[in-house]
Amino acid sequence: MKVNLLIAAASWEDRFCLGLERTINTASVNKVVIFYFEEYADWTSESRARAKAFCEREHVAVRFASLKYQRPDDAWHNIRSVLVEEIRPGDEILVDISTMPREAIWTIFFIAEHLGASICYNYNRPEGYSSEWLSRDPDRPRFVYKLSGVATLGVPSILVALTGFDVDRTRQLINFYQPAFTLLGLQIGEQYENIELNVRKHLGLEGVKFRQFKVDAYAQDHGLGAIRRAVSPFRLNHNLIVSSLGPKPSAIALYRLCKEFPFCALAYTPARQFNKNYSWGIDGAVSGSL
Amino acid sequence: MRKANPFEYDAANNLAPELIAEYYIEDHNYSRFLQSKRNVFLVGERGSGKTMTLLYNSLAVQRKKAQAEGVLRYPMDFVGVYIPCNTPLTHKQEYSLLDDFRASLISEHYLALAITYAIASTMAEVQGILTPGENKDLKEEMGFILGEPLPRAKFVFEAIKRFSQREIVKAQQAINSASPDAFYERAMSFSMIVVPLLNCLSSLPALSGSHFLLMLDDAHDLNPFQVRAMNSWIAYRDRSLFSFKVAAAKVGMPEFKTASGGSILEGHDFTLVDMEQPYQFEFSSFGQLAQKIVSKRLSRIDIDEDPNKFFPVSQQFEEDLRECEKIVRKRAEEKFREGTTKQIGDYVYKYKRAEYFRRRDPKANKPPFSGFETLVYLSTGVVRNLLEPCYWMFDAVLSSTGGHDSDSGIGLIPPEIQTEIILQQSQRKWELLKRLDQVVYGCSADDARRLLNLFDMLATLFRERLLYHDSEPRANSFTISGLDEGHIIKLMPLLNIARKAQLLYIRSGPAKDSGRREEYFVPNRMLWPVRGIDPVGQHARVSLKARDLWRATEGHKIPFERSSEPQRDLFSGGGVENEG
Repeated sequence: MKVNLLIAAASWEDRFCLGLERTINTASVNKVVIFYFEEYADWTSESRARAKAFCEREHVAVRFASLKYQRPDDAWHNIRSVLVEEIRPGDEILVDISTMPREAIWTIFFIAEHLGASICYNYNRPEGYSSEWLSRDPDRPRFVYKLSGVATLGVPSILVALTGFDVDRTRQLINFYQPAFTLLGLQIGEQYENIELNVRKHLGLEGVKFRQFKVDAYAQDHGLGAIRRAVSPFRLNHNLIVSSLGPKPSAIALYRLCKEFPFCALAYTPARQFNKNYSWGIDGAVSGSL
Repeated sequence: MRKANPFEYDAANNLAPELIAEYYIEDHNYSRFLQSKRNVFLVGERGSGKTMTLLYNSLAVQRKKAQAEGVLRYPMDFVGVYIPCNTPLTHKQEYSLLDDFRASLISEHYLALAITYAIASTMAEVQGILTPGENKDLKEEMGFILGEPLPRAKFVFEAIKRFSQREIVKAQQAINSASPDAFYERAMSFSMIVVPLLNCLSSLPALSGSHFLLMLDDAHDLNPFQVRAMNSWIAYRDRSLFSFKVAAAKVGMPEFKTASGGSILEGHDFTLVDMEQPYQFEFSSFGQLAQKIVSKRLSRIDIDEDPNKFFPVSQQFEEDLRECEKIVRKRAEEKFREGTTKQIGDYVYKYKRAEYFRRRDPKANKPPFSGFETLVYLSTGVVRNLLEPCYWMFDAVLSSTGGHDSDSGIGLIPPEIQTEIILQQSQRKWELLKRLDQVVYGCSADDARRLLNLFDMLATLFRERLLYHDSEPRANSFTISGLDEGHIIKLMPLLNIARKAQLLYIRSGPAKDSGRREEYFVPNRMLWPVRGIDPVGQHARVSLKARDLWRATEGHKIPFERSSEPQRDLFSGGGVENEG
């Protein structure tokens, strides 16, 4: 596989370096752009140094670019200016979404698509996650720049939430946007006690008007078909707010949905704290192209 | 037949106009201020009735109400236009990628068109307001003002709606294009579209002399440029044609600066109405409002019962309280040998309930919290807090009948069910406190831990006062003294998180120094039952030092000196209930 540009987000998780090395060892990569967040620069300094050394050893050009996690406007401009310099129309780019916040994934997809790149993505599963919390202290949700949809006046809003293990996070989104009702996309499967910790907990949400549908973020379309079927009946007379709180590949499905249905607004809830022991190791990969 | 729960406390936006017209109580809550030409800010946390008040004053609901009252022709003196702000349009952030000038233009464009659309929608609901000739003239006039003919539609208001819709879509498409400085060159301002539209409407015979109430709900969701634009419109001196009624949460309330750098002033430019009511005793405004709300809800399911009878007090509690009253009265008569009847009455009123709590067996269950008065106090002056336990109580009784009305109907909520639900709801408030970081945006795990400690220590303090304090045993609110800059920075953000979670309310009341007013803090009284604290009464505020409150967030007790020994147990011969 030939890759003009590999884009990744630096992380303290093992899978950042291991994933980068695996990709470079198996594909022909011309250049790597690694975005890192200033707020976590200390946590990622070691892995960035390792990534740099590896790229140099493999004679792959590497560029690091810093972003401010708490300043989305600033981050958007920075991502854009880097990609404008690095991408030429027709370039094959590979976005490693494994350790990349969803907001950055969507922004990179949007800008790279506009620049005429052909986009592939790769998601490396870790061997395991911390048994404690993964991220916490959620900040105010926000719409993603340029993917905030085309809202219609005078119609009710529906929230489409692809759920994860944190039912409070779902409730926060509902409380914030106060939709007429919520469509809960519940991940199928029994991995990581999914039925108990995700499905049952969400079905027990009290005081919330919701409908549910099943979705599989690990399917080839990452659940897009199921989401499309769920939202289609509302496309003409509702504004839709969509958010991914579940498995990372579901972010791909939501991006595609928003391109297909421009009335959908993509919402992101930033976390203010991440666990330093978020995950360990690296396992299989999920990959595809937009 | 399946019985509906009359205490449904769903968001007001989800209620039909007929239901709003039927449920809403106009008295005791300043809502008549809205049917006036003054600018009004309604402030209060979620559930305090802001949306309900705005919707009630909308033309759609007012006409339904007039219809129900048999009014043949609704006088269009005040035309209420409801404009929701918690919409995807308001949450758009692209403006912040632009320079301030362009950001302000596009922000105002979105808001001005949302207002235009709301006005047109409101007017479109009124059948026969225009003659065919007026319809045609208005269409032409608006087309002239806008510089292009309105889209095709039989009725002018539909055409204006379509125009707004088209412009809003075009603007969003332009702004969402990939260019970093994407902008919509045809951005419209309030004075370009809303004011001319209102002027045109006021020239119609059916609306001549009408005043338009532009009612913006959830204004805290507006972006800073929209807030400043709105404040500039509020600052208009001429209020003959329109005024603004703005509802916003207290925490995160919009600032009062205008687009030109000036500011709007309370009293001069607007009237501020606090939707959370400070007092809950029977004859207070909120006490009377609560009585009317519950009576009206009950009458909807054909229960014409006094709320006090529908939510009766536990008989045992009443008997025990009578015993305590006798004891306290005897003590008062000894204390005030030459005292007046009022002195003795006041003493009895102040101490009889404390006496009850002091004399309970420590091993006894929680007191049988019940009665309408208790429910009103537990609401802490917030309507939704009143309806929520009523809803669950009614549901519990309904569940016991399999969800169907029995032959005799539901005549009352038994006190034991009331107690059960109150304790459940109280427990849930403490559970909420334990996971605030997962519930409130901006609350860290450390903030959540500190707040849990703080409320735990406040509960310990209020409990100890109830059992051992001589002069003010039933205090359950507090002021803060010694609030220096260091403590403001540390403490106030924490208290604001508790306010966002509706676990704490700020009220304003007379201070001890004559003439001065002070802000004081009232924890949600639903926290207290599970901690064995009396939620009834609002007799005193405790002055707490900022330093002690901060130490309480770290798990240290708030200093308290016992001023008397506990009384012996009256009811079962035990000592004082000593519950942490």
